Amino acid sequence: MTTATKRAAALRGEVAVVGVATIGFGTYPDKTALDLADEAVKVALDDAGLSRNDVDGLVVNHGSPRGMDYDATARLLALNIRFGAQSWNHGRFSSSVVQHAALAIHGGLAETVVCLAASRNTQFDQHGKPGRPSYYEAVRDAGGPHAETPAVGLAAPIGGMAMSFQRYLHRYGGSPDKLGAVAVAFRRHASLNERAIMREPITMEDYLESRFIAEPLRLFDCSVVADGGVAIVVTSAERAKDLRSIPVYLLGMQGLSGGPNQFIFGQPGLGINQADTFDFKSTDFDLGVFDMAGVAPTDVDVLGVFDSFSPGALWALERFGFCGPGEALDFIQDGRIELGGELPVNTSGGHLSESLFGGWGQMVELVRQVRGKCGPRQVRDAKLAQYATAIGDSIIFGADA
Amino acid sequence: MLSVINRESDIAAELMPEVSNASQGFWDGLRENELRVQQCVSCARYRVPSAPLCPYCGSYELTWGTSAGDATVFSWIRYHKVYLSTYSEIPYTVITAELNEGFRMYGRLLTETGEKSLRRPSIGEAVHAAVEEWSNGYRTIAFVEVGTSEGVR
Repeated sequence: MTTATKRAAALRGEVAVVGVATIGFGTYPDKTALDLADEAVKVALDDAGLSRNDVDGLVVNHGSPRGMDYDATARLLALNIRFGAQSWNHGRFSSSVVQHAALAIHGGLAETVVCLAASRNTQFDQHGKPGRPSYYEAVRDAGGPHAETPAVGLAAPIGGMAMSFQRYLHRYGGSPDKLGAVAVAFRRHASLNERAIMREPITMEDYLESRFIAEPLRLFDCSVVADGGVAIVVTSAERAKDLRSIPVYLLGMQGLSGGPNQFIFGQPGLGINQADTFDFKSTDFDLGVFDMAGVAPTDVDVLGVFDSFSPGALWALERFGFCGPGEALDFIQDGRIELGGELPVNTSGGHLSESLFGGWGQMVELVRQVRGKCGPRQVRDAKLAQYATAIGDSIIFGADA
Repeated sequence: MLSVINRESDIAAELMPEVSNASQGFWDGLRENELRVQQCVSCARYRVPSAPLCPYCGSYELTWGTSAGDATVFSWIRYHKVYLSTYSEIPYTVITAELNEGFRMYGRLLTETGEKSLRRPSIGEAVHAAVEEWSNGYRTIAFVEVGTSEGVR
């Protein structure tokens, strides 16, 4: 065991989720992001049996203009904090925010931290269009965060995703039609979720008839943008014992990857942007989360993935070893990732059908699964619930520390 | 030298990226009908985008190399939705071109006569870089079909 691994092992089970809230999802022109943040904080603290006085840390994902920055949030929502932090205003940072809070607690810099994502996304122009406040990132000197290169027509996050998926199909073979199993599965799950935006079940025929947006990706491969507020309250495992909610422990964590051979859409080795092309297979370097938790992929009862577009599900499955490289299109067939299947994924509907909300909806659903509070979406005996993305970040939540 | 395709319309200025000292060499190259890319002096690999050090060998010694513009299609997508006013004629195809010098760039796929290509390209087919000059003076890179062995799809 390396020294880093030993330190991670010491973190296992030391922090627990004690309160969650999902406000939304929908279009709320009469609410501000602050209103949504306030509701989320209130409901999550109530869930934990805590008050605002108990909170001494705040980590925010969605800052202005679509959300509220941590300083305004703390000031206006009466949170007196000694540990304030904020991530880049992108969905990919959701698990990082929770990890950051956990590290602060474990390190003794805070005791009880509110992790928050609250935003009014529907008020802006669509992703990829110049009217959206974040558009300036697309015209960065070195290209956008999703490979956007508007000058040559490579517009919007879907561009980089579609480019990766096309290459993936070439690399491993397989029909793009098979991808429809993701949309069908997550829509079925959303039909059981009152908070989900898209609840009407769809069939493979519906999927194949849906129009291309950025071929090979179709309308049903795209997520639904909405307003909402999500809060996750974390505290030490010791403190969690005294609170009224069922504690859900953070058993394993690993961070976001980056570098010349990493791209957020697609597994390493695919060769997007300037990444080298090679046969990718996850190594220990990629799978610290399992090592820390002391479990294997086969132990995971329910999975949450970052599905801004359908292929994100494929790459999360492969990256974390739920199936081999290039096998995900087959893995997702025949209901395997649906409730009742071998590995239910995104049981609240994910970004495709619940709401595009940076993975926060998925994380809260996983906590609720471990608590046994998912009603018609409950996976029987769910004890280990994992959030994992194609970018490499992951949290394993569990019932027992 | 790359051929220049003159466009009769403007490209919206908001589509053009920031230009820094690092990338100036590329844009200067386009002005002179060349595809110039940073090249590492130590390992000779080209790199896009420009970066302070070589991501392959770590050397800080760089120069600017000129690509001949010969490339193959590494990947492709086709937009069926309008995001950008300049590119409002859908569908249109954007490719990842892999230049023979071993780096990749994005660009629209054009026919040999410089029109928007209506084909779905094959991965691996040959293309050639060209410069587009828009009527408001901006220049961008695009990739022109070089006649396929599999015909039109």
